[in-house]
Amino acid sequence: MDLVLYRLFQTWQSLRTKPGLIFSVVVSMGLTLGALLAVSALAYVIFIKTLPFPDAERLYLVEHQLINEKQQIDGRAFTYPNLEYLYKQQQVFDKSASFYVDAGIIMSLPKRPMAEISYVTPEYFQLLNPAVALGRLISDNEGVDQYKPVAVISYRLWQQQYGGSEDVLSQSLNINDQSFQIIGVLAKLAPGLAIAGYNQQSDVYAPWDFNTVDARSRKRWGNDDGGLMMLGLLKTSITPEQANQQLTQLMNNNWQQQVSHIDFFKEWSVAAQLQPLKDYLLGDSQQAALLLFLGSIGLAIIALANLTNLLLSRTAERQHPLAISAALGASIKHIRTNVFTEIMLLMTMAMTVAQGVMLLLIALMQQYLTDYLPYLQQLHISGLSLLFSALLLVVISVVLTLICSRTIDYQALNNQLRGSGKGTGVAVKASTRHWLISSQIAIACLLLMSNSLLTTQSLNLLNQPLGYQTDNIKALVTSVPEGEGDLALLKQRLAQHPQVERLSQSMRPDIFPTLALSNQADNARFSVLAKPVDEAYFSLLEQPLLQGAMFTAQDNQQRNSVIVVNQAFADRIKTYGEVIGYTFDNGARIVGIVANTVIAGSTAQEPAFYYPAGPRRNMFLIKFHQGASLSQAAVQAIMTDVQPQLSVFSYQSLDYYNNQGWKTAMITAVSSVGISLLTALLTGVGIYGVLSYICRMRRTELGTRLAIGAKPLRLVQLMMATTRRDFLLGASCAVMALVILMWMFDGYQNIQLVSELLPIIALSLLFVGGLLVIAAYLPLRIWLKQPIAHLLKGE
Amino acid sequence: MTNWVIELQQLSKIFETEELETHALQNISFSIAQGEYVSISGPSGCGKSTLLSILGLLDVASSGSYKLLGQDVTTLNANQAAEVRNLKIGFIFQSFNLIDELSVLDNVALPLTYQAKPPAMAEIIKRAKGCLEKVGLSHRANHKPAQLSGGQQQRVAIARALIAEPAILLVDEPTGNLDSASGDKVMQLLDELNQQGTTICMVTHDPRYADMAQRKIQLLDGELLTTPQVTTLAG
Repeated sequence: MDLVLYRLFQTWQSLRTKPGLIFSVVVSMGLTLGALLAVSALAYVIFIKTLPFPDAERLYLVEHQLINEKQQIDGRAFTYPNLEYLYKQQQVFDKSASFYVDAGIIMSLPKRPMAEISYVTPEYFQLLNPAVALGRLISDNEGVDQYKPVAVISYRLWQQQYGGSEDVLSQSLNINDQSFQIIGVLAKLAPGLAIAGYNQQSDVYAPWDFNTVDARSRKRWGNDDGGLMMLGLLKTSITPEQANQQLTQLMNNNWQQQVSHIDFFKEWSVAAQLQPLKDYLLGDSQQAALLLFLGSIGLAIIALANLTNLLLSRTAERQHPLAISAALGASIKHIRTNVFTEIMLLMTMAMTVAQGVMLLLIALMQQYLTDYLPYLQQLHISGLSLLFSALLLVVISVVLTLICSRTIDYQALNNQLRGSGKGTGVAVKASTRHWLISSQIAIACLLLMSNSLLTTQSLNLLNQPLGYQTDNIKALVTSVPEGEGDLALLKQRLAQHPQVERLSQSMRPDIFPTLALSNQADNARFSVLAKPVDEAYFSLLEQPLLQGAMFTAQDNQQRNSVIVVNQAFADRIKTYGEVIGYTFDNGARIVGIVANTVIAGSTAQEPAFYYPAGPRRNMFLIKFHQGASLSQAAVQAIMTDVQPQLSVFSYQSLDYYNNQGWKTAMITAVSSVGISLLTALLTGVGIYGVLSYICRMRRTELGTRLAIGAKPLRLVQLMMATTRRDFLLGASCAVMALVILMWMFDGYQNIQLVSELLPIIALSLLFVGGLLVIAAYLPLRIWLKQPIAHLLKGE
Repeated sequence: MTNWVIELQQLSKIFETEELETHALQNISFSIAQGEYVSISGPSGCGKSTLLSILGLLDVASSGSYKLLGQDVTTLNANQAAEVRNLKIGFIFQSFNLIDELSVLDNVALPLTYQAKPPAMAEIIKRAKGCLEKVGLSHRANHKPAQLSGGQQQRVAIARALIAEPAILLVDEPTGNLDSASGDKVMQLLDELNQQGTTICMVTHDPRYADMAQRKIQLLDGELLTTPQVTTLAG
């Protein structure tokens, strides 16, 4: 044991004379392995780890599909009566739960916080089985039609609003004028179903009976609502396909009877589609995680290629001490052990740094990406991750030792000390070098090209004009439901405030419900985006009116049947006649056409129409004077002054909401640029390392060429020629791989071949080519500064 | 009865290329007895270093027989040859061949760490210190080779060659990189070691130092010039 330590110490003594080598290895491998470990941990929880629910593999959400007469899916959310019907009649699940996801103000708390609320049937908790910190969960006695006002709250709400007090169980909370007795608190890490974002879970769980769907909507078979959901534990005897078929038949038969008197739904149908709970919870994060994983693997491969080159050069550099060791009786095994010890020591340092980088990256992801990637709170350094790190450390060390050992000719080492040191005991095979450079170039080109594509697409999204102004505009929603507060007075007080330039009593521009319009005479049926707005909406947002007129204040006040359509909807109506003046069955008449808008994070210009919001709509858009604003507290003060029951439900700038929509694109752009920069750095360093080694090995030859009159430029060309074939091979492989990857992931749907792909390929190859030129010149420069006589002596 | 350390019979070494065949050594036969001090000399290119490499198992002969302590070592594989080198041969090179990154003490200790069953670390250090004391450099144990003079470096190399208590010291131009005063001191040290019973085979082109050996073997163009006279020692 002490000899092992002695050898380790000797190896360290030898290594410490090479701080540059230690720095290069520890930084490049530490960073890339750290990134790989962090992303691998994420990939593990996403792709491999089972959900923390009992029988998780049998848990499914039911997607309710409204299918129009063209057999296209018009909506993917439940209608209220269909959900109730299915909950009572289904036979495919051992147990099913209905729940409705909403938000509301907790009026009983002094700060009146907004909370996410789930109204659930008791089976919800039976299926998910979360642990409780206090009290109990909603029981069968509090099931459907029992009307028992109880609530279970989240650990977060308990800590933040009740200070973690155990007295909470003797308290009640008030939401929408309904008081709920608190009966339980979920445990800190109790798994719940994420809603609207991976980290956004409900703060309050109340019985289904108290859900906030209004009485009218509860009876409408055609109005779907994204908050209505159904979770079920599939019977072991039934496959998902059979369940889809049975549920579709069950629902559709009943639905057809219920809507038979509604002309709009003629030839429409409904269908059920089971979605594994895991797929629902992961959403599109699987693709993001896969891309991150592939990116970090690519970086790690480049770094490994660099490391291999560095260590091959190091082995070559150490041939003299190795030859001495061989002369003193060191066997091949001793020499390999020597090489292994050094690599292991370097990799241990790199892996230690990698653990730190991994922790840092996990902390950053937990801080900034919780809404975009699931399970981030579950990421930490565990025994499994340490074992994986240790395994990776040993595997990399052994593989690199084998590669380096292959370059050692033991017999030649023995001969090296003969006389004045003739012969070369360590030489890296040319084929090994070429393979390393080619693979490095291939991966670098592929990473640069794919990341450039992602960056371009993200920038296209970010630069897509929205079609309206957002400067100095905030959206306000009041907590008092529509029609109950004195909103006219509030509107007047807000409009008269000196900070306010203009006001509109309208829904904010980035959200659209869907409504149906039809014209039986033309056999025209539309299910399109619709938004309630007032007469000031378009002028406040500077959304251009293209034709016709905006409806008037009187139209809005009286909620007259007039609508304004956007250009995309107008183009569809055109086939039925003149757009302006076109009237639908419900009496809605088109009076104007406005320009299209897009929702942040999307490029689609969907057909939409705007209808009078009326004076009781609890939503406002407030445009402030340049440099002016009102805080939420100031708005709340105005509201309380108008009517004590009024409170702020939400109050944010339009830029805030748009940034939410652009966040994915921004994260993609930033991480793509980051990976590209790291790729360029690692590749540059790697190729420099290789060419530096080649220069050192060929210094006598270079000296001879200079001695007989070669100019430095000629030598640069000579060094570049060394890698020309590798560049062509690597670049060709990268382009082929890119073409295959794009076909697999995109199917060439979203890429313009000539305007986007070709310039990116050309620029990436040019960039890597430029790196090669620089990497060829820099090491040569060192030798060109030496006196030629020194080069000739191999000094 | 004579205890032979080295016995060579008709030893030849031919370097072959596609176009050329060079006879570096031809039919070399001689023996070295335990306790002998033999010098091998000759002009540059006569095959001295090739012969020493073969004697040190750093190279193999093309033909002929080579016995070390009675064991035929011409057919050993690489690992077996390494073990023999480690246990039975001590090398002293013209250019010292110390490892720059290691301390003087660690350089001397190195051969023992390569043994199949190495002694305990404390024993290795003790013996390394003992060898350094023998060559008068114990006070330099923690220095790096670059901090020593050429003569001192060669004495460290001698200490390293002695640590495994080899059957023979193979010495290659020990004074080639030294000034005359340092060279004389090294030669004096080798002489003392021989007088203490160490068998030495030294390659040198300096006639003055060749004469210091008990027996001289001269080479010219890969062949022995003088018929070696074996000195039979007592026993």
